[in-house]
Formats: sequence, C-alpha cells, structure tokens
Amino acid sequence: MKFSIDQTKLDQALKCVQFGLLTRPSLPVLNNVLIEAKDDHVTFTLTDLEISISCKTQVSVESEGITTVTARKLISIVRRLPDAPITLSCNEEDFVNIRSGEINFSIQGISSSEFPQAFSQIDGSKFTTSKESFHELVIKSSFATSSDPSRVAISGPLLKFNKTELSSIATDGKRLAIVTDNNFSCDHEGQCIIPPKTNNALLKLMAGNGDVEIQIDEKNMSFEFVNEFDQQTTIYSQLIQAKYPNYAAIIPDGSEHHASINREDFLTALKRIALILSESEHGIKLSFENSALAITAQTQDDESKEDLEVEFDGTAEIAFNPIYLIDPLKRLSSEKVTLNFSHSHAAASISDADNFLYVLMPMRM
Amino acid sequence: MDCFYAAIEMRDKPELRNKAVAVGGRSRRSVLCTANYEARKYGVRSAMPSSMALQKCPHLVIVPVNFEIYREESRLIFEIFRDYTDLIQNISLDEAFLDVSDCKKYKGSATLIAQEIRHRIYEQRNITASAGIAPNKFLAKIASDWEKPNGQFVVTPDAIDDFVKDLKVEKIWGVGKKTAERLHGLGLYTCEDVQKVEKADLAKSFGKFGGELYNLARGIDYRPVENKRRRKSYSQERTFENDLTQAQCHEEFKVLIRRLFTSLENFLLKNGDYKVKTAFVKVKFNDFQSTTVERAWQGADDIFFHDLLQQGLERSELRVRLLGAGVKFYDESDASDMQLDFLDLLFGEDTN
Repeated sequence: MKFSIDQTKLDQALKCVQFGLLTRPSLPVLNNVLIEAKDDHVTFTLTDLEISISCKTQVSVESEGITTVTARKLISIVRRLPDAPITLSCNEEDFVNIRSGEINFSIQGISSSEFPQAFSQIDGSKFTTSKESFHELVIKSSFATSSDPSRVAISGPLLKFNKTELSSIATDGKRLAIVTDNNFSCDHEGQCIIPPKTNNALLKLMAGNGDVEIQIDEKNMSFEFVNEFDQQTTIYSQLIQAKYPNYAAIIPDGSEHHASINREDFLTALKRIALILSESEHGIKLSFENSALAITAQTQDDESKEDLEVEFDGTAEIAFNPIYLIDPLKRLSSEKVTLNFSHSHAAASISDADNFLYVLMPMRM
Repeated sequence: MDCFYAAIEMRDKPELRNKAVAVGGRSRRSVLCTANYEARKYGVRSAMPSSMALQKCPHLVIVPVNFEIYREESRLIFEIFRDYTDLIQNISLDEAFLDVSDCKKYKGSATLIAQEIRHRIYEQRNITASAGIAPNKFLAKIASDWEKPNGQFVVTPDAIDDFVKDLKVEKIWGVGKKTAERLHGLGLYTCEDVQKVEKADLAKSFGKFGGELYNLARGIDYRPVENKRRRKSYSQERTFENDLTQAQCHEEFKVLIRRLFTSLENFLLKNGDYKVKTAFVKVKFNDFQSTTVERAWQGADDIFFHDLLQQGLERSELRVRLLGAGVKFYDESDASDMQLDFLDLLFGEDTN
C-alpha cells in the first residue's frame, strides 16, 4: 500500500474518526486506525465496537492495500508534520512508513485481518435529512440528557420519526427538551435512543451543509454524510436497548401564566445575576408584575437583581436553577421565547417559534 | 406523669378511684393507651388490645380516650416547666426533657428543682409525676423510671459508673427487641458486658449504632435537649373495625383525606417554614403487610390521593385493615432538595 495525501487532509480525516477511539480498549487492535487505500481514495476507520467511524478521502493511490496502525501515535505525528504532502506506505509485514520531505517515521502496525468488522449493513428504516437541521435537532435537545449512570434509558436523546416529523427528545428527570423538524418526510415511523458517545460525535461532526442519510434497525443505526472537509463520513452506532420513559406525561396540559421574553436579554441577564451563585446554592427568582420581570439571586452574603421588560399580565413568582434556563436559551436562535408556568412548584415550560419545547421543574423558593 | 391519661380520668371521675382503669377503645380492634397501677397488677399494659386486657382483668374499666382534655392538661403542666427553663424537649404529652443548667433556683440544684416541679404539678393539677435527674438525657430517662410512681432518682456524675453497670441492654436507647437479641447472641446482657467490647467490634456488628452503644453503655450521651424536633411528615391513618373490601376503601378514604387536608392546612398555617415534598398513601392489608405509594407533591388534590390509593390497592387482592395518607416535608438542610423533579412521573417510582 502506498498513497500521498496532504497533511491537512490527513489530519482532518484522523480528527474525524478519533471519536471511535476508546481509552482502554479490550483488544489491542482497537487502539489502531484501519487504513485502506483503494482506487482513488483512502478510508480511515476507528471503532470501539459500540461505535465505528469511517472517513473516506480522495488521494492518489500508488498501490492499493490495507493495514492498521496505532491511532494515537499516527494522530500526534501527523499533527506535528509540516503542511505538505505526506507519503504513507506499508510493507507486507504491516510496517508503516510515514514520510514528509526529510522527515521519516516507521511504525509497526497490526494486520488488518485482526481489525473487527463491528457492524454489518443496516436493514431497517432509512431517511435523508439536512445535516444542518439534524445538527440543530441534536444540539437543542441533547444537553438535557441524564448523566446518571443508573438511568441508561435517558442517557442519550430519543430520536423519533414518522412520515412528516423528526423529533429529538432528551430528559434528565428535572427537565425535558423536545425539538421537532416538520420539514421532514419518511416512509416509516420509528424511534431509537442514541448513545451519549454517538451523540457527542454527531454534535462535532455534523456541522456544515449537505444531507445526512440515516438508517436504523433494531440494534444499530448509521449516518452517512460528507463532513465539513468534503470527506465521505460513515458512523455506525449501537443503540441503547432500553425503553424510553413516557415523557409525554411530563408536558403540562396548559399553564396559567405566559411571559413573552426577549431571548438574548433574558439570557444575558440570567448569566449576570447568576454570577453570585455557586452550584450548591439556591436558584434565581423570577418575579413578574405585569410588564416588569425582576430577576433576583440571593446568597447568605450577596444579592443581585436585574429588571427586564416582558409581555406579561398579572403577578407571579417562580424560582429556577439558572443553568436550566441558560442551557436552552443559549442554544436557541429565535428572538423571543415564551415562559409558561402555573405555580411555583409545578412544571414550567419554555417554547419558541421554532418547534422547540422545554419543560423544566422549578426550585423551591 | 404517672399513668397520665388514667390519672386524669381518675382525678375527674371519683367513682374510678381504687378500680382497675384503662384508657382506650372498647371495640374489638382497639388497643389501650394506658392503664393505672391497679390494672397493671393484672398484667394489663399500654398498647395491649382491649380484648386481651379484659381477659386478663375482667373487671377492668375501660374509659374512652379524651385527647382534648389530656392535651389541655399537658399544656398546663408544660407551663409549669417553662418557669424553670426554655430548653424543653417534649417527648409526648406527659413526658419531657428539661435542661435546667441555667436555672438559678435553689442555687442550680436540679434535684431541688425537680422536687419543686413535681410538687407544683401535684398542688395545681392533682396528678403525680416522677423525675430522673442526671447529667444527660439517656441517664435521666432511665432514672425517671427508677422511683415511679411519684418519686425521683438522681444520678450524680460520680455515680454514673455504678448506675449503668447493672443496666440491662434493653434499657439502652435504640435497643429494641431485635438488637437486644443480637446483643444476647454475643453474650452481652448488661451495660457492663457491652463495656468490655472494643468500639471497633461494636461498629462491625452494629454499624453506626455501634459507636452509640459504646458510649451509652458507659453512660455517655452528648445529645442536647432540643426545643423543637422538626417533623419529617404529617399524616392521618385509620384502622377499620372490619376489614374493607377494595371498593369500600375509596369511600372511607374520602373521609380520611378530608381530615388530612383540614389538619394539614392548620399545621402549615402555624408552621410556615414547612414545605411539602411528597404525598403518600399507606395501605395495610389484612395479612398485616403494608405498602406505601409516594409521589412528588405538585399541589396534590383528592384525585391525586385517590390515584395513589388505587395503585396501593392494586398490589394485593386482600381486604384492607388500615388506610393512611400524608405528606413528607423538605429537609431544609438538604440543598439538593431545592430542585424539584419529575422522575417519579417519568419512571413511576414508588416506595414499598
């Protein structure tokens, strides 16, 4: 195997696949990236058996071949090579040579025959959507997933689709985020829970324009798209095999109070007011009196207060963990959000014009 | 107070004097609240089913419970206590710890103070009381039983060792039947026996309580007299004369809920710093197995409570002996309690 590739291109491809790298893999070969040169392209693949990420990029292939080499070593070498063409080759003993001008590395690889074929072709639902809207779906919901290791079912977002809608749902038991894409079409309906690691990879790799083809069967799912560096990317992932809880029960039927608030102003004020709070301390209080919203925070020693103009009728008070408000507000793009609530100890919700619904529990005042 | 409820009844109803008297219900399921010394001679004890008490003492006079009067009597007696100290920890209507360390009367002599308090209770309320005087709560509690009725017993600091030496382990606070059995299993019958065991070994056998055992067996108790014990929950329950069918439960439950709401509202009005965290319903079936269903409080109404009841009832097909409903309060000291969640709605979590 022998091919030439630009340092930048190689660096980008390796960065893309490294999400498949596990800290302490069970098999030595899982430390390695699979490199396959064929026709006019080379494919890099990393897997931890739960997720597999491949990145295919065009190169000039001098001779076809396949091998594996320690991913961390290769990544750090490539990162420190000059921005110039690199020639990568290997002999039949999987001895990999990396050459850039006068610089030369030779690394012992492992035969590709030891590299596991972690995933087979997925046979199930298939749909295509824009990368951008999918990325938005994930980014606006998955922050609400649970980090509690005992609650696997809610450790990742639930992806749910029918003929006209694609939704991503996430909850940690204190808040629930639902984002829906209505510009969607699919022949089937279904749902799956995306593991947190896959979710993180999607958040990182889905940026940019273009489409993503998603396939889901009972156990696995795959994403095929062109990454921001124009490299064909394929992610295979296992699904979380658990029953997602009945999140619909959380959504309040209706609310007594509705406040329409400028999102940017609200976000800035919350970040400011929360400055005096440490994590262990109490929340911020929102006091509404007609068009005036007073945001206050108080600790044993300090106090902060900021007034905002909002659209609201009547008077009401409610307290929240500021992080639970900041988290969604900073990910939204709409000008205004509506905060809906009934009383200080019942679930409240935030909605915007863009099919976003966020349910959150208040803090006791 | 000595046989408090019975004493009040005998004081107010002269015809009861010199008779075996107990206070409690007369129905088949009732248990006695208390019995006077005459009744105790026949083996009648508080918490004994009335039917059993009557078997032991057929001429026993069982007087119905009149809590209104007992409560008022208790209030008047506690007023006497307050002339001596503000540090009063009430255990029940007729029992309390008084920390008289700062009381100046009788040059601070707790023995003389106790004598005066008992004397005043007798003079003003015509009821006898017993007292235990000691450097800590554990010893004072035991000492108060020493000269009962109408007496008092002092454990001075230098007498502690002798006092605890022969105490049976059952007398140690927190040692119930089970723990006593385990102590006996280890060959430990008295405090002196327990004193011979290393602290680490006690901890190994009894966990955290091992450390307490180690101290208490030596007459050491650091717990202060606390004015007000914070309530963790507030509830109402009722044992039924006849076991209820599941269909009857909802009817009876309505009454219980109404009573709970009224009394809880009063309680919350008087105690503004209490915040309700969860609501629960308890069902005891006629095999004496009980189950509790608990949910986060979101301004619960009676429908909410009936839902909880239904879930509890679905756990058995048996008839129901007891129903209870109540709420649990937030622990102000727990900051994580401040954030509300909907995990129970999401996962339908409950406690058994």
